[in-house]
Amino acid sequence: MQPSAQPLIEFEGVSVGYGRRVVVAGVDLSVHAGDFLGIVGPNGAGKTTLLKTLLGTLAPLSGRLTVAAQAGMFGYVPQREAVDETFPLTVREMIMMGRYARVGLLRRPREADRALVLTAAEHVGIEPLLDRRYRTLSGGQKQRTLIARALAAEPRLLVLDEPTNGMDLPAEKAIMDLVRHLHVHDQLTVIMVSHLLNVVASYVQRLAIVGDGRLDVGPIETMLTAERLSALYRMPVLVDRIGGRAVVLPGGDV
Amino acid sequence: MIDMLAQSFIRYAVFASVLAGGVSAYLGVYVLLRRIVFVGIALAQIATLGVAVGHLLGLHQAEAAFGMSLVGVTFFALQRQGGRIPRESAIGVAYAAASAFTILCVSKNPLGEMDVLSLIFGNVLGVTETQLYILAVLAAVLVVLHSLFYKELLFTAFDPDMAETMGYRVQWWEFFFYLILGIAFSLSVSVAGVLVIFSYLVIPATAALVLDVGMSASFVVAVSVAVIAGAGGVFASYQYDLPTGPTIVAALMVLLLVCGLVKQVKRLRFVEAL
Repeated sequence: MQPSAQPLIEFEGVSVGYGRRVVVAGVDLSVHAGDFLGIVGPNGAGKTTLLKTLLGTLAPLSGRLTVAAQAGMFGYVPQREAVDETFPLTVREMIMMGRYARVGLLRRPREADRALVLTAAEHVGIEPLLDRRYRTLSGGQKQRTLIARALAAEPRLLVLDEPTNGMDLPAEKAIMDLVRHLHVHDQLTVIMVSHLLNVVASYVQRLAIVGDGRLDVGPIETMLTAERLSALYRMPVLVDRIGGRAVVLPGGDV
Repeated sequence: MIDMLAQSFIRYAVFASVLAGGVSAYLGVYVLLRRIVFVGIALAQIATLGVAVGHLLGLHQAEAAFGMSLVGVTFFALQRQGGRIPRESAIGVAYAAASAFTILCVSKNPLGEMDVLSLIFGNVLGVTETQLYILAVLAAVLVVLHSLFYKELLFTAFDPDMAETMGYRVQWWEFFFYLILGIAFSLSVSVAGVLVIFSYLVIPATAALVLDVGMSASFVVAVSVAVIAGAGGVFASYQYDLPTGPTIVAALMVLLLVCGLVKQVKRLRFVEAL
């Protein structure tokens, strides 16, 4: 899927942070329809702060952030660890939450909303789990539920925060294949935040690297270089290519 | 039991206990799931302070409690999560201050210690017909609010980040919830007392979560537990000449233990079936 010329989201000289504390300054970033953008960076570099600003839950400290009307509602997939499992919710109830904003105030979900919940569940392959309690699911199933909840909002833009955290290799691949499927077949624009460089590098089209208080963005080939990553992580980092894919490895003695 | 109900003060006490309990237990499910139990007890204590101030100054108790609750609700709603000073500190300070000032108000009241006990355990046997009507209206309003705003209250409590992303004004919904809590406390604390109301808030909701019956059913179980314990507590206190408030709390605890037992039996049967 090729990105369009008109940006859905545009950061122009934006500084993000909390109160008076600037975490990332001078962000220039455009996200176009059809993009698959990965946002990576060391822990504490400001990935989540940038994401919150993008989602509109944190106001930019300065600069201009434009979200085009055609961006529609964001389909936000939070980190699994952030989901409160005390609530005795079923998978069906969880996915239905994705419809709430569309249903509107003082209204109850209708048959069409219930059908969309079913469709979203089928789409991510969790339809048999609809009446199971969310907290009883495996990590991969929980992630699929959160993706289904985001899809139920009928978004044009899917924003995922660390979707493969704490997963084993098959589960990680299955989730990332699902995300790619949503990007390619359902033509969803995807923004994914992760600290797992190899996962991101295998799937995204463009890469944004957050570090040292700034954001750099470009194609994988120019962004994933040993020099850049060694400077960013303050340790020797090797970048190799296996089967046409960039692979990042820690350098030095192992 | 029929003989007991023939007496109007027992009838009123049963209805008041059931209504105050049902309302608090319903709100308790949200309080537990939002993990704001200490906001609950602090707000209940602030409402109690309102009752004490009202009593001391000769004001209407429920109105004074409502005014004080409104101050508390605004204070808690403005507390930012993740700020420099933990929210828990503000809750602790509010609770300590409200408790101390309640006792100071009571100490300057000619009725003295007797009032302290009635503030803690309430005086459900002395409930008036007007108080009963007010509680009934409160319960009816809560039923309406639940049917109108269930999804908003649930969503903003469960996943405030996503709710905000989807356009919900989470802070407003939080304020709205605290406001309902404050109103409920200000109307029920003067009837049932702070300890009983706090017990109604926490124990039935805990019983519902222990039973693990699902989201919607949790409200039904919590309210049912409060209703049974509320009515049973009043009857038992009359029958065995026990103080009403503590008897209601004891009844709530018994039901919580029963729910725990039921859950254990269900778990054992499930393991055996495997």
